[in-house]
Amino acid sequence: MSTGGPRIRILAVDDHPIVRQGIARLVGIQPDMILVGEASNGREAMQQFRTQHPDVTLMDLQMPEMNGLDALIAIRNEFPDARIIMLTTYVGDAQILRALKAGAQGYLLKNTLHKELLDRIRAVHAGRKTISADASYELTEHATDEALTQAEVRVLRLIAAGNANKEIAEQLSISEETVKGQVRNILSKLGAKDRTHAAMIGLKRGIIDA
Amino acid sequence: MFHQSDLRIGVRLTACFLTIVVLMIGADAVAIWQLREMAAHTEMLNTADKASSAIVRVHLDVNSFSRKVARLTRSRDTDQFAKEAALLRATFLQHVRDAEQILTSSPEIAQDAFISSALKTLKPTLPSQIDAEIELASAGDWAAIQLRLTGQIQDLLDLSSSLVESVEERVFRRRTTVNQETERVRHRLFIIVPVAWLLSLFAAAILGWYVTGTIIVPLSKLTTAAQALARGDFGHEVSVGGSDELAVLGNAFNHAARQLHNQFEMTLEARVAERTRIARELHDTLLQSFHGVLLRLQTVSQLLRERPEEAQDELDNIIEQVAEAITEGRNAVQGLREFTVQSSDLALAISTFGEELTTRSENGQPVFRLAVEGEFRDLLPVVREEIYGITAEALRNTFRHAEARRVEVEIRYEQEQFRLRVRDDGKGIEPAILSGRGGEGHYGLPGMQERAKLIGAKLTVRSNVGSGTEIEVCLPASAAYGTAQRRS
Repeated sequence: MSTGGPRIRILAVDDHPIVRQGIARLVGIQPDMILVGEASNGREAMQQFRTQHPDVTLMDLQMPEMNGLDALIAIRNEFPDARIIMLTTYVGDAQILRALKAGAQGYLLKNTLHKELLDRIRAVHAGRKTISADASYELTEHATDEALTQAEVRVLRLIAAGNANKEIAEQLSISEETVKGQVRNILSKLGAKDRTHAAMIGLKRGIIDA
Repeated sequence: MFHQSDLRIGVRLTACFLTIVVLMIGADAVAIWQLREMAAHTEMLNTADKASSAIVRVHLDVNSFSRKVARLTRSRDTDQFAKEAALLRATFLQHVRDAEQILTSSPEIAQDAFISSALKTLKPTLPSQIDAEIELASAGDWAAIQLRLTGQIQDLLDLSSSLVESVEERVFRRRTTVNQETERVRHRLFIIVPVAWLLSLFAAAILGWYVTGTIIVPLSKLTTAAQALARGDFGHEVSVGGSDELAVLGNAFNHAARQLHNQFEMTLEARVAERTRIARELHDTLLQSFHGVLLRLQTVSQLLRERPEEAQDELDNIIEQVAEAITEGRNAVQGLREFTVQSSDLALAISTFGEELTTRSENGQPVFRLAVEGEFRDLLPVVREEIYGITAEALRNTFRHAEARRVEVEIRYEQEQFRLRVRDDGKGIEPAILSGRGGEGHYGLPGMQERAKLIGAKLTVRSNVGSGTEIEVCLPASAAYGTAQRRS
């Protein structure tokens, strides 16, 4: 633990006040950190960032009005040096990838937050990237999988909404044969037994949103 | 088989039976025809026999004349002879007439040139001979009579003998022909009748099998489809062809299966939505609380050694927080349980809950009232649950925070819509919380909004600080009560 020197300025963004409180208290007793702001959705996060210019931002992924991913992109747009760690309850490899590609420095799971938070904040502040162990397992698990194409993701979304092949073909203005082919690809890429299974996997891994 | 299944079943079966009956009648007709032919031949034989008898009688008359004349030459009894001759003449003529009569029915004999001319010759000749003899006898010319006996009379006798022979020969020929014909007919019938039977049997078998197939095959397809439906395989459709009663049944079945499928899917959707909601609630209330508490416990752990008093304060705070989280979690679970256990009466459920809150309440006991207006109508189960959930949450808030004296719930079953209001005269909700910012979770307004959205209802919260709060849920009749027109 570094003593002396300026404290790490931290912004906590989460729509659940209990979680925010927890972060606030834990950070509050660290001599090298100071909480400079709180926000409960992406919009507020944007505002707070502009006013406070924190060193490290902790951002929950699932929030109403403007979610974490959108906020991440918006803030990084305006402030390319922003260091933002994403927080989330569930781990889905597609989600993780999206966040990292959008410029997040870290991805932490809330269930191990109490152990990891402080060290990870310091690491990110020092310029390193950080991912929870579980998150990295998930990434590795699917690292060599062939990703679904945009078209396949669209079809999977419609499958999860309960549409039959015919309806999907109508909605996407393609032939039913094409849809059948894409469904076959999806099943094989995801290693799914059937459509329902594929939809479940898609939701679990974060390829499609609920 | 294609055009067959456009005919109604009754028509098909009738056609089958008719075909078989026609075949049987045909066989019988052939048999009857042959038998009639045979009868005709036999008839002709009979006639021929009769003709033969007639001719023989004629010949016997001639013979009788000859003998009488012979006797005359010996007895020289003219009177006797004249008497007998007269009798003979009459008899003879009668017999000849009879023979002529019968011969008209037997052309094959009558048309014989010899036979007809012989008869024609005999007819006048014998009577004239009789006359001549009588004359000669009266004149006493016994030598001339004797001469005639061996001459002309003998000639007559020879002629009638030949006549008889010819007729007999004709008859014989006819008899032979008839025998041959009979044999032939016998053979024919011997073949035709069994063949006809076999054909009919065969046709009956083929047609029966064929037509039954057109009935049984679709029926068994229908049975298979019904069994598949019972197993839950909604995709199995009966293939329908033609337009007979079975096709109609097949179409009706497919339609019913499709309807069931839609119904099932809708129920499934509702259940999935419910499960999603439960997951969300758990996530919202329980999980997040755990996360927060974990962080705070970590804080305590870090503080414990060096700053024990702060650690103590922190622990106290945490304890309080956990207790609250437990209460919220319990309420959520109870909300679920209460609903499924209780009767389907929304008003009853709400009033029970309201009374329970009243007895449990700590900040003074407000008066709780429930009013129901309009004619009771059954709400859709999912709607009922969500409305109950919203109302329960609103009531909890009121009892916990509003410090009200009166709490009222008003349920209105209207024609065009369903409305429910929770009103209190408490201290109101602060605008900041109303507008959705900083949802401390204690008011659960976002949760209520979500429930409302799930069932297609509009949630309105009206409150002013110091003058009470009103929460209203409103949804259109079709969404609330469900009508015959479900969304497809």
